[in-house]
Amino acid sequence: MTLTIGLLYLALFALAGRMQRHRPVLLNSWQRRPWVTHLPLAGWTLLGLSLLSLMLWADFGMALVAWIGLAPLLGGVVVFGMTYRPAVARAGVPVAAVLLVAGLLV
Amino acid sequence: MVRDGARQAMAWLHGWTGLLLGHILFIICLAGTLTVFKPEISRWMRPEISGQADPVRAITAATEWLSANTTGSTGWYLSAPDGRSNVVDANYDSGGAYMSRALDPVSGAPVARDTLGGEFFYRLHFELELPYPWGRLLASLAAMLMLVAIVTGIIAHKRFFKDIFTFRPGKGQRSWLDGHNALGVLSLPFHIMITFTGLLTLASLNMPWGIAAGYGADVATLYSDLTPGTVSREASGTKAPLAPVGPMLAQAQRYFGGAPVSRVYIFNPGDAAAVVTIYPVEAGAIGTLPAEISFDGATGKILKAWTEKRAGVRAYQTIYGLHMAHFAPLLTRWLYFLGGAMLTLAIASGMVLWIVKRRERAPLSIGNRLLERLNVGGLVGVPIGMTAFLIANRLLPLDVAERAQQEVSVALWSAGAALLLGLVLPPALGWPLLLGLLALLCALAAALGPIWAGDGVILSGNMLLTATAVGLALLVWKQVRRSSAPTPVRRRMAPA
Repeated sequence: MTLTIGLLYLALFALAGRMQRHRPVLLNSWQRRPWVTHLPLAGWTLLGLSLLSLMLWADFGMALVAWIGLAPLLGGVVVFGMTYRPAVARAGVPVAAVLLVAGLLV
Repeated sequence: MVRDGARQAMAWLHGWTGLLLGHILFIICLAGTLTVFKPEISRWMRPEISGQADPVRAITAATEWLSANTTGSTGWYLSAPDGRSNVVDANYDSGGAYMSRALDPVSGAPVARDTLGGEFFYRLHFELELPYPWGRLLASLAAMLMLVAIVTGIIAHKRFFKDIFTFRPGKGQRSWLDGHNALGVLSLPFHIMITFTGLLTLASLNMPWGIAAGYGADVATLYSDLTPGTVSREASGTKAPLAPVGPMLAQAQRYFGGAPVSRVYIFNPGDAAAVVTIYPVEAGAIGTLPAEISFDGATGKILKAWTEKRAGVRAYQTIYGLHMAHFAPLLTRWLYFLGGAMLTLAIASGMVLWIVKRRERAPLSIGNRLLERLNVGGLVGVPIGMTAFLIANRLLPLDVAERAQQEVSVALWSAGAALLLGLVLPPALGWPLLLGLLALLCALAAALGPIWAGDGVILSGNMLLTATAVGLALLVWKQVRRSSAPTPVRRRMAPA
């Protein structure tokens, strides 16, 4: 579960960050780094990996339903975070990274 | 690539399909969203019964009470308490009258606070308080239009992926469109799933031709083919006491592989030809595994045990299970709630957007002015009615006749009065007034108490109501502050 949440948040953040309109708010001082051009690929790959991580769940059907529910929840954090509290949306990245690592270890 | 002409046609169809039954869809989605927590709402509405109940003991107590207090029954249909519900939901007939009551898990007697509880929202979701089959047909039609609106909305949306993450507040029509798009697109897989599965749960009604071709008017054969495990036999007319149900329940649980029992149907109770049919709980997997075991009611001996293995039926059960979400653990239930809330808000924002868009172009036509007022009365009136239902649950005396029905009447009359107010008042006044009233009602429902009663369900319900009240109050305050601020003077550009 934590692995899927981490991957999904990072995927949605990367996909939002690849857009010219949202880049300054989401990436702040990092928007001119060379790796920014690879964000679309990273976003789609992470999204694919979040779907693949469902295979680790005991029941794939239930996992898929939970993924369908988690996508709007985490997407909402990115959308409304960057609109009203960009720091919250950015703070989600290290949290998601921790969840991802915790998920891999557990 | 979709041509712009085709895209415009889709946008037109998206607008009209959403508008035509938009208010009905709003009721269906809001009630459906609340139904995710149907057992918890029922617990909030019956604060006298707290804590968990043992299903075997509760069913035994219920059958003992029913044996002693009903006459000439043809059937008792009981739902056992589980981790979420803590009463026995009973439907039965006695002396020719059909009754639906919650029975105390200890004494087996009806709970003093007669209420439909969460069942009201569940029935409203697909029956719309209309007689059979009209409510279900209207809900089916609305679901079909919703599916068309979703598909046309996807095609009409030019920058589908770009707009997922875009929300620009405080920009009038643009903000409404962004909000509508974000709500619709972020939760799109859920919206498609819930609409499609909802439509299929009513398939026998909205697509009856397959059944008609195969069975004609022979409904009995249809049901026996669908559920071959069912044992049905006529009453013999010879009286015989019901054998103890405890051992039957234990035997059924063993047959279901340890899964707890869920529903217990007793046909011809008190007759020598009584039949006790027991079903397992539906939680544990998305596609419920239809299984049943039937006992001779007089002797307690097994008559028939059956488990569904046909792929077609199990596929349908999966679709049905996806819509009902009985399988869902707590987190998934909240995610269903979130998805439902987003769909409800997407419908409401679409209805408002229709008006905002037209008002920015030209003065509103009479039809659109009427729609604008219907939006005020309908979109706020429905939740007002629902909150009034909760308040009536707390304020109506326990001994009032047909109490459960009185609660529903209060809900319908309140929603009707709010709709009328919305139609009469100018929208600039109607929105803050009715939203403020809704905030007050939510706060009142939480404050009427009990604030806390034995378990966390009542406290959680009260906290949610309070949070809704605070959120709505902030919205009203923002609305009033904006409308009282001086309007900036627009300077017209001088022609060059």
